[in-house]
Amino acid sequence: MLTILNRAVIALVFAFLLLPLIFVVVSSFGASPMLAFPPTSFTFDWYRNIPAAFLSGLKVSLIVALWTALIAAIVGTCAALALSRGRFRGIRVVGVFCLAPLMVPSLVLAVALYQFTGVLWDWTGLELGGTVMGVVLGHTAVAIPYVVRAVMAGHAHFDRTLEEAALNLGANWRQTLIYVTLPVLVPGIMSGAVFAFLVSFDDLPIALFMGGDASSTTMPVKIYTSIEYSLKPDIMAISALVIYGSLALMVLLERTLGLEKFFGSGRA
Amino acid sequence: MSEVRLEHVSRTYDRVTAVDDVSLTVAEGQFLTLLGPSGCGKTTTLRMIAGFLQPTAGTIYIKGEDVTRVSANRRDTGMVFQTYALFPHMSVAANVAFGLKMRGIRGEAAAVRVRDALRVVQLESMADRLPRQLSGGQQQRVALARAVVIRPQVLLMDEPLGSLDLKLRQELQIQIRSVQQELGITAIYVTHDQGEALSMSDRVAVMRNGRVEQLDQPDRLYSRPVNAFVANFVGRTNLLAVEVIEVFAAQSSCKVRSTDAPDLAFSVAIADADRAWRPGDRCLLGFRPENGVLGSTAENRIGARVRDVRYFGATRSVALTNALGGSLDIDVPSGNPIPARGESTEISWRPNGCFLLPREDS
Repeated sequence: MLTILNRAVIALVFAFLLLPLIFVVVSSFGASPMLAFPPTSFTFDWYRNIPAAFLSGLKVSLIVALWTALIAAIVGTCAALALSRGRFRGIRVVGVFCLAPLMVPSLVLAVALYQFTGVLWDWTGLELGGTVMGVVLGHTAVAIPYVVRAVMAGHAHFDRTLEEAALNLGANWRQTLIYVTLPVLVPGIMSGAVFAFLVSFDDLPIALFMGGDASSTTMPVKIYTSIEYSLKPDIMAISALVIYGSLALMVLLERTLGLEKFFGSGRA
Repeated sequence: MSEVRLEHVSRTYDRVTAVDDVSLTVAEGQFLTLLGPSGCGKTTTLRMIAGFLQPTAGTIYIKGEDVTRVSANRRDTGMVFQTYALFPHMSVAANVAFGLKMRGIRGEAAAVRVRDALRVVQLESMADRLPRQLSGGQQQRVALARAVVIRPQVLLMDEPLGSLDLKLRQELQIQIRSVQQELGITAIYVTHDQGEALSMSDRVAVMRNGRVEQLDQPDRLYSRPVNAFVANFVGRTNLLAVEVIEVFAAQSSCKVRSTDAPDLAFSVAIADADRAWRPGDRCLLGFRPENGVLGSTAENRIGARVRDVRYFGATRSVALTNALGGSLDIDVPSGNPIPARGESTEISWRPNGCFLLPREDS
């Protein structure tokens, strides 16, 4: 009895999670120029006619997400190592500060970033406002906590005698870091980087405030601005494309590294 | 020339003294064991020799050179850890090659040495495996190969067999000892297992509370412990509180009597004269369970009642309550007759099968 109930609950949860995705995919094949569900006739037209602006948005999104993942992985790993090993006054305050962007609504953060970077550009003479790197900078701020958390979780299981062993075998601290510490922490760093990528790819408000012309407009911004005027199946087509891509990526990760390891605790 | 020399080495952590004025030397090619209960400072001592810890006082020499301030990666020691500490992302061969790589030895020269080292520990066929694919014993042998392949001045081992089961431990004791002898490498070994210490070492330093209580060859440690702590930590010992009555012929032997029952007198042959006993000295008389016999065949005798008998294959261990109310243990070869539980008997031992120890409080 319990198992039947259990299964029913699980099925409902899955349905709730997956049905919207299925709705998007099915709608993207509907021939009607208005959104209708279920579609009455079938077509590939929407895929053939995805507006160029969406595709360039997708490209910008991917570039921004890759840069974000890279920068967040580097900065976040350094921060996580400092927070895991450092002994300095106020280390806990710094730790909370590093995770703070997780708790602030991203719209609030976006407005704050917009104002702050305006001042920053003035002071430094860097003109990143409205550029791809400007968006990357904003995304990195929200992405770093994910890397910090993943690497710290991995570090909690790190055996410090490995470093003593390396030292004992003649490695200096730099060689120890490169040959032993970082490779052992790679699963945590990678899972943090994947989260950073996803956070960036997902984000609307920060990209909205930090972006500028078409060259720095990410796909979510493009979709958001276009549905203000019309809701057509071409949006479903580009959305479905993203779903296919995510699905392919998940299968790839599962085959190569194992998803559980990736999204688990960041442990080896 | 001694390979490793410690002079008045101490280490304190926030007012707690972990190692207290330890001085010792290990000769070239010798196997020294630091033996003691947990918290006695043996691991701290080893870590100071490896360079992971700085002594708060004293000097450490390796090959006559003062290395007290030399960092761990320049000390040329090879360390084997209790937790193996193999690099999980590297193959067995890459683990063993790591120290060579850090010394700039690569390519064919390194490959030959890695192969040789793995052959010494009989793991040639495992070269391409990852550490997690090996058993605990195999992992520790890889760790041993990794430590000796760099031909260090001194091999340091920190309870390397502590997490292995008994049978494997005994096998690896033999293997570690034979690798050490084959390579003629100076070794310092840390353990709390007295059997391991006695069977593997050239010399053993028994430590307690950060101090070396006795540093001696295993057989002398066992037959001539310097105090009750050593006597009890290395093997089992029967102790009786006694007082010296008479000393004969330049400290060669003496007569003592029980402080609890003055009419009970015993003879003791004194083997080494590094302590001069005088009549009136209060001390402890000790003898090993295998040196006591049931019955009154030997010169020193005490009445006792059998409390318990345990069977150990080759021997039976008989626990008795002696006439003074104290406890005695006697090992009896399994074939010999044994009185029943509760029965009264006499225990005896020879003057050269016992020793005198100072009282702990004196």
